[in-house]
Amino acid sequence: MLSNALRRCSTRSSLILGVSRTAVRSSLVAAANNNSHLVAVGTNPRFLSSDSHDDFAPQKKATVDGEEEAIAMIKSHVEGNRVMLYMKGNPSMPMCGFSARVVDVLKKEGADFSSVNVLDYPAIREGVKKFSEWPTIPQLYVNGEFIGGCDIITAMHESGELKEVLEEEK
Amino acid sequence: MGIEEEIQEKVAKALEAEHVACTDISGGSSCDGGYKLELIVVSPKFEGVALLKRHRMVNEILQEDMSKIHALTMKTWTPAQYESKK
Repeated sequence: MLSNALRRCSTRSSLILGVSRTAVRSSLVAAANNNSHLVAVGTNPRFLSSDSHDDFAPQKKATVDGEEEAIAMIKSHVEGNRVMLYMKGNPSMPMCGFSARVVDVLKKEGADFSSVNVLDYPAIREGVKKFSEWPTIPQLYVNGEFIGGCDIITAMHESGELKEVLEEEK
Repeated sequence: MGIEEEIQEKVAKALEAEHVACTDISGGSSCDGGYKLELIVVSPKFEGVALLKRHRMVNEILQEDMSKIHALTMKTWTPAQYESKK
């Protein structure tokens, strides 16, 4: 499980903020501690160098260049995360009223979801609009399918349709 | 002509809408600048069309205006739905 979490974090989807983020972070810390221990007792010459290895560089602000790469990444996000939200800000601090409303609805539905803060990733922000042919953020995807923006999510929540979509098995 | 009237006219024409109302709700809390608009469209063309598709129909009509609009919130109703909301 630890190695799974690690692998997930070290791949290019590391910009996703999942609901289980705390768990992932603590396993990362544990792993980092293990690693530094290994380096300290080993004979690896890197131990003597003043530069730290790339592996230890912060991963969160991974850059995404180019539209193609962004769209490929979005495709892997929406296929790999059952409920995926592209939003401004993060779920605990949305930076736009519309994003805030969708987060609120998902919480009311009791849904676990992953999110990307598009304000951190301009290429994703533009890419996701092309990907769904939808002009605005937030955007919600369930089981790889684009569901809608704020208005649609709100209306579907009120009609009970969203619950059905969220409960659908993959 | 303000952007609201422009949009109303465009949407009314393209969707043969019975009722279109576009309101500027930009006041105060804009995150990005640009217009924040609220749009209500009542059109028989929405009959039997899913919500996402209805919104897409409107987005398509407003494609070239979208660069000026920061946020567009809309209600897309069939005449029957509109009647029941009144």
